Amino acid sequence: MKLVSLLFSIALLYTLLPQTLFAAENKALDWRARAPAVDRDSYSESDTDEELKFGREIAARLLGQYKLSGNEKLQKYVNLVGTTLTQNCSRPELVFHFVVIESGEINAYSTPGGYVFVTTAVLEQMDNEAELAGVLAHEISHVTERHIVKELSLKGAEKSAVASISALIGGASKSAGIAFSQAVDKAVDMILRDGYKKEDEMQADADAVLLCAFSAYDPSGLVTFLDKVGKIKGGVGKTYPVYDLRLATLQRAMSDEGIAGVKLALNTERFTKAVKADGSDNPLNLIRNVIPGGTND
Amino acid sequence: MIRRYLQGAAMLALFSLATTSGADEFHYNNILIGDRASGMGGAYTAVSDDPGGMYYNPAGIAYSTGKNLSASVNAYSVSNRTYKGVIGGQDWTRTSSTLLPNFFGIIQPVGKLKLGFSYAVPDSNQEDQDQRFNRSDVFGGATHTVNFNNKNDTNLFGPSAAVQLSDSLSIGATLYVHKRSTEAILNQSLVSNSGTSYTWVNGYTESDEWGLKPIVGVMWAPMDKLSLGLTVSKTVVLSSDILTQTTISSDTATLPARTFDTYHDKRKYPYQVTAGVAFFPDSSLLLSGDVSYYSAYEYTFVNTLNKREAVLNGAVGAEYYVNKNWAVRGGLFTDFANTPAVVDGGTNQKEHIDMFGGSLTVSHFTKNTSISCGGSYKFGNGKSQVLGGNNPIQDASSNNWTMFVSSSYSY
Repeated sequence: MKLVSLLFSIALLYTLLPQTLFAAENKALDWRARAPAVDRDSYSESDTDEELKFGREIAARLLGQYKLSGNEKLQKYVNLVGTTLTQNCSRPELVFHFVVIESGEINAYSTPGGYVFVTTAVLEQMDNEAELAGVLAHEISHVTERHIVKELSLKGAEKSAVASISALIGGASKSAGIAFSQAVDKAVDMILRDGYKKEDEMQADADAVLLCAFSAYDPSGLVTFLDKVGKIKGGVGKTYPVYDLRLATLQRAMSDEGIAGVKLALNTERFTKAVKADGSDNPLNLIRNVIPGGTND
Repeated sequence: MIRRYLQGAAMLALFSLATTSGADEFHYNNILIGDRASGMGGAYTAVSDDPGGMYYNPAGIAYSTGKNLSASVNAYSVSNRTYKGVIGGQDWTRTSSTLLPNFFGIIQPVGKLKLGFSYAVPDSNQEDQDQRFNRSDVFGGATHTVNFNNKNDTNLFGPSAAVQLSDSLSIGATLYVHKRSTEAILNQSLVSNSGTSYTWVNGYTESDEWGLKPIVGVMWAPMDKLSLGLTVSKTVVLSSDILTQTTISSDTATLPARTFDTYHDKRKYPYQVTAGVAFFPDSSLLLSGDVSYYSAYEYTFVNTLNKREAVLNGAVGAEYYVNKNWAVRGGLFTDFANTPAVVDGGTNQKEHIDMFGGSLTVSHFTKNTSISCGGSYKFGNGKSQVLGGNNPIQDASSNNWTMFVSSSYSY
């Protein structure tokens, strides 16, 4: 009887405790986090909302500078490949958007919150769907690892990156608005001009091949693509680090993860029909053959 | 009648099953549990923020990170115990080796709660022994053969729940189902060198017990980088079935004598209170220490009174991340005997061996996984009266080494 009373009291206490007592929404105290987990900070739902707003603003700036590809079927195809990858990414709370933009620069971009851009020029350099998946997975990793958010934090406030962004977005004052706009400017500069830190690029590469393998794409797609564009003089996106170093690091990472030499889908034919075609043929029909009900026109 | 035969056997310096039936119930730190905890000498009560925490301090899992986390440990453990000059001046050595799934645990966040399920094997013993002694003190010269098979496993499995009451305080509980199974066969023969006389004793004991082991824990961080943990637990046996069988044959008896008995005696276990402290100076280094108190208790089991004394064990551990991909863990711990000290003039005294140990593991991390391998070693010296009765006391030594491989996964 005493035990029942005790259990009842505990249950009652838990029910009546104010929600504010349960601070941090399951966040571990920062100092408990060990080295391998330090990069995997704990974020709340509201943090993600702020990140999304921030990323949307950056995406809007990018769309102001580039023209969307008018090939609707190509847009859907790239979106479908990207969405397939996101099924296995580490941030299921995000809804990713994949966009093809008209540009002669061989590059791809991503913004916080899940907006991913690939240029028509980069698609032209690809030979199969595994290469496309590798590039998209690389950009997905920049998003899931919050590389821009963290980088801006390092340059700015002492608090966590998300806290800084939240303050900028949530701030009602005019100065907060200016600071937010400046943060967006910095992010755009980082994406288009300065590039990510070398370590972030390496991590995105390593994550990308793993994500591709999880999604049944041949992880060598990113390797062959990087090898190819690394040999193009003058045409490669200026935001990437030295390709030889990248390739060597990537191949070591693949070996560490045990996926070096793994042979998975390349989907060359499907890619060729989708990307190389002039849009008259519908590449989505090919996808439907593999994924019943996989898309809607 | 049977008792007289047994007494006669004891006079011939045969072992009694009661003396030898235990796994290592005279110690509490028999096998280190968990992935990180094993490497840190079991000093984990104030850390406990992974599946191993369900065993050490369920309050700690409230601080576990990752959407879902699981860990498993497999261990290969070898124990040696040597009793000096037991028979005809010769040593008797008992060796146990066992390969076992030592731990498995999984944690899942559900709203404000962290729920988990774990399986742990805190004690396991498997002896298959075959040893011969030359005896000059009986039959004018004889061969004494001892065949001993002993299995003794304790399994714990059950759910855990923990909640963070604030940034610095959490509570948690684990309710383990306790299952202990034992089976011991002690077969001995004493055959005169002339071939004219013999004595043969075969003893068999098996037991199955079921119970519950609730563990209640609290974890508190009074300041940044410092964590304190406290747990209370006790195993309560709900049912117990014991079967004993003894067969004795001798050229002095006309027929083999047999006994066959069943019992339902319930073992008792101590209250265990463990307090721990952990210091997290930075993301690369962790230092921890535990003190565990086990209460004194006694119980009657198969007509034998078992007395256990209060024990205080200690452990210290450290974890260092060389970089975010590699970590090294080390620990030191005590494993003191819960039996009374063996004294001159005593009878039927259980062995008393205080042990000291250390552990070391290396872990490799990838994005969501870790693999650890390492081992622990403990040793000690003490006294025993392994032949029971008022037979001579002898020096005894014990050591154990365990190798383990563990993996964990979070996403």
